[in-house]
Amino acid sequence: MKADTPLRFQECRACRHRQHYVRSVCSRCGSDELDLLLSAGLGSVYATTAVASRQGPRNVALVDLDEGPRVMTNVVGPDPDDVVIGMRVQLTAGEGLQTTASPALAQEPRP
Amino acid sequence: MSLRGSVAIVAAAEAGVGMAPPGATPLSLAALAATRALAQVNLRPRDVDGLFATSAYHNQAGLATGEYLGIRPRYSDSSNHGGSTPVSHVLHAMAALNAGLCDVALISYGSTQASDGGKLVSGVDQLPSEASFGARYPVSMYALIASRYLHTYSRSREELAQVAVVAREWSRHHPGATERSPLSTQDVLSSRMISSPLTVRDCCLVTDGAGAAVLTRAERARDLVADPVYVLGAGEAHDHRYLTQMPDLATTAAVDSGARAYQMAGVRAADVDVAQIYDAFTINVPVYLEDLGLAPRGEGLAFIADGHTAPGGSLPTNTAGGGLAYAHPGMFGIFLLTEAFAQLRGTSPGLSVPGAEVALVHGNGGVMGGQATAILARSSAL
Repeated sequence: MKADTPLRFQECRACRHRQHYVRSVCSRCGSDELDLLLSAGLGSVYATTAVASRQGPRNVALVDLDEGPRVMTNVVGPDPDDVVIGMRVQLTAGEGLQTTASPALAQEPRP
Repeated sequence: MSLRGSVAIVAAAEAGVGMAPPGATPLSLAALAATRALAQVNLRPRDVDGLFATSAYHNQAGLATGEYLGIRPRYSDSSNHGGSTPVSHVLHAMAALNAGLCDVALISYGSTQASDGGKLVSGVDQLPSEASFGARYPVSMYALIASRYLHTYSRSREELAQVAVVAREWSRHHPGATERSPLSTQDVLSSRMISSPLTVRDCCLVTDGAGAAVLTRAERARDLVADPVYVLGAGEAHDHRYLTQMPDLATTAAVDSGARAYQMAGVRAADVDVAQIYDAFTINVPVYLEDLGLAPRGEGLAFIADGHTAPGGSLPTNTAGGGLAYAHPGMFGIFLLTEAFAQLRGTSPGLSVPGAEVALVHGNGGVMGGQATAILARSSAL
C-alpha cells in the first residue's frame, strides 16, 4: 500500500460515524463537522461481479474498508471470475481501471 | 383514522405493450392507457382532478401528462422513485383522496424504450465514486446483489435461474406476453453473460408499453363499478440511491414498506392469495419474498424451486410473466397494478388464480433502493 493513497473517507466529530462518499453533513446525525481521513487501503471483498465486454471480463467489486466505509472498485490480479467474497484486497494508487481502487474515488469536500 | 379499504381501484388498462406502432411516444401510449381505463367507468380525462404521473422521459411528468391529456389537476404528484413509483402513487393517492384534495385519481405511466433502441433514459444518475469502474448500470449493481445473496445463504446459480424459468411458465399462457417460449435452467445458464452471475435471461425485457389505474374513495367506487379492487393497505420506504450506500445487499427496505402495508391492511403474509413482485432481475424475487415475509429468510429460492410461485402453487407470483417475460418498458410498477387488478376480478387474459381475494403488489426502484408495497382485495376480503 502506498502512503499517498488518495482514498479518503469522512468521520463525524459529533457521532464518529464514518462515511464514503464525501458529503457536506453526517448522514447519521446531521452534523457538519466532519474530518477527512486517509484510508489505509486495506479491506475485504463484500460482493463481486465479472462484467462482460469485448475486451474480456472485468472485475467490479464492493470492498468493505477496514475503517468501515464500503467502496466500489476493480479488483485486479486474479482472473475476474476468481475474485471471491471475503478475499483480502489492498489499495494500490495507480492509473484508472487497472488499479484496485481508482484515484477517482477520492473527492475533496465541497465548501 | 384507518385508511384500510378507504379507496379502491375502479379501472386499469394498458396500451402498446411489447412493440408499439411506429410514431408512438411515451405520452401517446400513456394517454391511450389512461383513456381506456377511464372509459371502463364512463369517465373522461377532464374528470380527473388528481394526477399521479411518472416517466423516464419527462422530468416534469405531471405537467407533460396533464397537458397531453387535457387534465388540469388540483392535486398533482410527479414522484420518481424508479420503477416502484406507480405503487408509491397508490399510497399517495390514498392520502390525497382521503384528505379531500382530489376525487378521481389517475396513475399514469408510458414508455417507448424498445422503439427508442433500448436505452434507459433516466439511468444515468451515477455516483462519481461508482462511475469509473466499468460497471454496467443497472445490471452490474444487481449482479453484485446476487453475488452477495447467493454467498450469504449458500444458494446455487442454478436455483437463481429457476426464477426466469417460472416466469415463462406464466407468460406462455398469456397472449399479450412478449416472451412466451419455454425456458430451461440450462437455457438461462448458457445465455450471453452480462455481468456474472447474471446472463441476459436473468435480466428484464426491454419493451414499449403504458398503463393506467383510476382510484376513487370507496363509496364512489361502488357507484362506478360492481367489483372495485380495494386498497387494504400501502406502504413505502427507501434507504439508498447508490449501491455502495445499501446497508445489506441481501435485504432491503421492503421489510419496512411491507410491514407498513400489512399493518394498515390488517392482514398477514399468509393471507396473500396472489403476488406481483417487481422482477427487474431474477435476484429481486427471492429477496422480496423474504423481505415481505412470504418465504422464510434465506429460503426464497427454495420456495421457488418447490413450485410455490408457479402455476398451481400456493403463492402464484407474477402471473403474467413479470418483467422477465411479460414486458418491461423502463419501469414496471404500473403493470404490477394492472395484473393484480385483473387477477382479483378474474379478467386476466392469461392464467387466472381461482378465488383470489387478496393480492400483494411490490415495486422496486433504483438499485433495490425504492420500495413500495400495496395490498389489494376484493370486497369479500374487506
